[in-house]
Amino acid sequence: MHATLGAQGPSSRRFSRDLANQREIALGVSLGSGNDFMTSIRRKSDRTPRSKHPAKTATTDQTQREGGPQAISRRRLFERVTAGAAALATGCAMDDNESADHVRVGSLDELAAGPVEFDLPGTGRCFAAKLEEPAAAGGQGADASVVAFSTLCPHMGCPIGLDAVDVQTGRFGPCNCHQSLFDIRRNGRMVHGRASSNLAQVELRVEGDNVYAIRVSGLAFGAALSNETALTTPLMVQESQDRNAGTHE
Amino acid sequence: MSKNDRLNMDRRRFARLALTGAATVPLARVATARAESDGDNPRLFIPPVGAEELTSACAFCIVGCGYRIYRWPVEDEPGGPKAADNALGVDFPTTAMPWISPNQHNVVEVGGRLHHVVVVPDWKATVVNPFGDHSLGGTLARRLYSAGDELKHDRLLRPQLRLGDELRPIEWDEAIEIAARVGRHVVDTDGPRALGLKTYTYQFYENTYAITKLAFEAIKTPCWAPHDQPRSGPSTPGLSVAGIDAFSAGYSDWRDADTVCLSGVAVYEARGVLFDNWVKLLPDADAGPRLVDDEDKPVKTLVVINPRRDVAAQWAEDHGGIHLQLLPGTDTVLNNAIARVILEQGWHDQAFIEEHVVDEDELEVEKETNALREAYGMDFAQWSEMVLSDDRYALDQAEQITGVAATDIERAAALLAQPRRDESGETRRPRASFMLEKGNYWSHNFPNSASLASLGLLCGAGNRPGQMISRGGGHQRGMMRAAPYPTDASPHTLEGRPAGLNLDQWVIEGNLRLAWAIGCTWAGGGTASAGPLFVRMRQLTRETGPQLDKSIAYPAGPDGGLDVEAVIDALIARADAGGMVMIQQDIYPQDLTLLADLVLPATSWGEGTFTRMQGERRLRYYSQITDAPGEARDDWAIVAAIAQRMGYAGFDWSSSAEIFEEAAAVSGGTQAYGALVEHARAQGRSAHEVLAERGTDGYQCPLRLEDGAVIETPRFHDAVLAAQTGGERGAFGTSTGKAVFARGDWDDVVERQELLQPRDGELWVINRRDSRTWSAMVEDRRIRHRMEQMPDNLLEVSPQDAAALGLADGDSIKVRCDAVTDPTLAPVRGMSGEFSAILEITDRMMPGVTCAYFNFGGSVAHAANNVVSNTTDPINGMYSFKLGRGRIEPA
Repeated sequence: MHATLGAQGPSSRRFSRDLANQREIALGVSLGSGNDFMTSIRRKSDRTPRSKHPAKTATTDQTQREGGPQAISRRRLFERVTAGAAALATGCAMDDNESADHVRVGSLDELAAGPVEFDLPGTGRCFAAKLEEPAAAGGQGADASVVAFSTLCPHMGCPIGLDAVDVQTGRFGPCNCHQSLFDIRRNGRMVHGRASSNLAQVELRVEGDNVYAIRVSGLAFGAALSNETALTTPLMVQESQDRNAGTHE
Repeated sequence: MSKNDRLNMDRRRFARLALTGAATVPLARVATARAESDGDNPRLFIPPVGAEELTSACAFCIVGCGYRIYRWPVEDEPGGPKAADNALGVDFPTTAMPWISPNQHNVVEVGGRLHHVVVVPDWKATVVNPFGDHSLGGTLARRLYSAGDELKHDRLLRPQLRLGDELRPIEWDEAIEIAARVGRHVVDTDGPRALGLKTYTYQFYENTYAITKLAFEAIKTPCWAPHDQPRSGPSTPGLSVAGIDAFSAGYSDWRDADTVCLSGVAVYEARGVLFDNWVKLLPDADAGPRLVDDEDKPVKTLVVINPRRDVAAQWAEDHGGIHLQLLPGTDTVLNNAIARVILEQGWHDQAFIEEHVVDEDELEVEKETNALREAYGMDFAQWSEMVLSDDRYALDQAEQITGVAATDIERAAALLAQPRRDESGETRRPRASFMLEKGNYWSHNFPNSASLASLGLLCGAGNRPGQMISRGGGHQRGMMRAAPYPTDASPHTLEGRPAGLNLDQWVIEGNLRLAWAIGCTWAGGGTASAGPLFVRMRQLTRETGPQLDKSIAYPAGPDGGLDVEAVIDALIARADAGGMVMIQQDIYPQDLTLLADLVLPATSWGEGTFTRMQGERRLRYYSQITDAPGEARDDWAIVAAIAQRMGYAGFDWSSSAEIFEEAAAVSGGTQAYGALVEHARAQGRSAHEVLAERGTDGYQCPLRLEDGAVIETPRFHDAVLAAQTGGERGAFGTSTGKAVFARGDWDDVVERQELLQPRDGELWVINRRDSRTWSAMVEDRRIRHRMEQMPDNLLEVSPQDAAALGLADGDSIKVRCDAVTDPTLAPVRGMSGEFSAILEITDRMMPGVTCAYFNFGGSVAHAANNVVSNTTDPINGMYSFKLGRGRIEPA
């Protein structure tokens, strides 16, 4: 007599592969490399940069900016992240020629040499990277391989260093504090650890060889939760009210 | 633009420019620059000044991190980003807690009105989760029921009655009447053993008190089992024999140990804040000079015993400790082998043993008072003789049996017991603490826990700061027994000793007429050989007549009203015919819902006011945050209503607070909180109210009153306290107040190990927790952030095994065990079990050993327990959940 109540998992190998890829990122396992999550922790103390090239930090010298995107509506980068924000913009000279709507991150050539750090007012330290393969979501550039995120772990705000960026696997982390790990090929999704939200992603625009930060989606650690970043929006509130007007079933 | 122009512009444009990161502007100007842009204002969800503030503790693991909750009506203006304008007193953006992440906010109903609610880790905490560290509880707000959340569309909101394949909503009064009348009938007809309950032990004192009052005091049925055991009984009997309470340690003891031995504990994965904030930290300076390494740096080391290389194992290896990656089930040999090295080297704490462990005469006294101790208790001379004379505990044979290298066994012994130099230059024995969890005692339950307890005593652990023996804990401690379990009513024995009734066996044999499951995945993670049990349950419920249908329940048509009497008659007829009626009392549907005749909607965390205890015995108040969803009721209220309808007295509570005060009289041991109730009554207040004022600190039990003040207990077994009170407090849990060596011997294991050993192409299939999920994943499947992280069940396999099987990473596989059931249980004899998963190749598993998540989705189809034998161990009658086996095949 058999009582087989199993065998209800996914049936296609392709679906399995996609899950495997997600899991690969989650646990740091690179197909065929055996370089697993635990190895990533073991190497924490003697870590060599996983990106192929040394990390670079974007200059904030606005005079290097060439051209730029069109002026954009006020529902963009700085208003969103700075809604009611406290003072962040201190100590830097204002360039009368810069636009209020974007920040230059660097050039594609610079990114090809390795991840680049940059600062976003209201968001803090961020990084941009050029992945070896197109991002599954959120990538920019001709091949959708350029991504950018906040470096602050959304768990408790620990900064994660550029040496935690792996442009081959899309792994970012683990955070030195509590080992949260993120997938920068998939919108900064947390795939292991303790953060209650995913990494804040910086939306980019590529113009020629220049990469600009134009918008933050999601919430960087420390910023104020708003209806644009909350998972519960006024629309849901209205839907709840509508439902409550009926009977529960 | 001139500087003057800049200063004169309107504040909106000013804000944009200021925040490019390149402005030299006065802080005050920027601070006032809210993005009020013509109606496109991103409305903030910061708690306003005056928002209601509550406290609670996490719904999930044993650590029970503290949380602060803020709620305010959706119509109210939200708080502002300045500290003076919000309830948190924080300037946004903030680099410290409390940062409110998107998943820490929700919209819920309070008093019938929609409210914003945020649930943030208590950043002011100095106990348990200092500075607001947290794990899964970071998404507690999303756990709350919100009618607008599509992921919670299947929340149980009304009582339902099964009519064929359909579950039909009915009224509460009808449901209570049906449950009570059927229950009354089966007890009157076939006795108390015809009615059984399978219930949680974690979901708050008030609920479990009501459940056990009905089961043990009123009905007096022995047919009760907790969610994770087949019968009532101790989880760690080895500790019980030793006289050690499983939760005697305080969290500071893990921190202040020089070396912590983790036996079968996934400490990062399943109780992560305990690991990060206590276990892995260096001892506090107040604990005395710390041991140092060769470079004179203070050290903290871990000895991790686990077949799987988990996060703590890796941390141990990285920080001067060691991972003992043993073969499943061989813990007893390993523990005794380590002990043998310690004995042979003379590193054991002889002074401790002489003072705090029974001698020969005292042992005889203990044997007379406790049947298990009579069989397995030893004094030091007997126990050390056993360890030193048995060659299986010598290094060469131990290496062969356990798979752990002899040099590693020696290293572990040295880390635990070899005297070393400390910061003061003195040489002293390490302070070693010992933590065990299910990898230890859900393997070979008694011998593993006994051998670890004895190893700890040998090292001088048990009743001193930084030198304790305790469980890490799994879920929080919400079990409050209203009366003792009626062991006398149980027909089952173990080694001739009275024992709890094996409820799963009782069901399989067809002895139960009414099965009442409260808040657990009984035929999933809650049993072994889950598939066969589910099949048998289905035979007794859905495949045994009569079955209800609309013609019986609504003889006058759908508008004619439910014919309650006809329903009761039909269900009673099934019970009388040898079938079973099932009641499922829960918050969401699960596999049991497919079988249940009655489905009763219950409340959960945040939907009522409750209390329970966490891992270092802190008793906390869990605030009600939202209205009960739909018509859901507290479990205690449902049980009380049914009990009263069955004719039992003493269930007329009007609030959970009343139950808490009544239960104080029976709260004992580590859970004693009667002093709190006395203290509250002296003030003319309720105990709930007084406890709520303690917020996330709670009270560390047991409690006593001294000069009108409530006194807490940092450490349950405490040598100093015992000396001060003449053994009245702080002593070990024995009649002499001294500990007892417990005989954990391979002789008591070898036969069962042989029974459970993989064969015929099978591999070991152990199972684990995961930091991304909680238990049966009831919440995880309904919180998007959590769903994303673990979309499928995973089976970890070594590269060598995968290659031999011809399987690749990511393959869809099934794990199958033929004849997984107890051959003496005729109805399920010969049944096989299987579960599905995705293969993950990883070198954190050794060849021959695979590992699955233990209870994926709470579903029978994915339960790792499908390949665990439902035979039980001969000493304590528990399943060996961690010792599954099976063949791995492509799906």
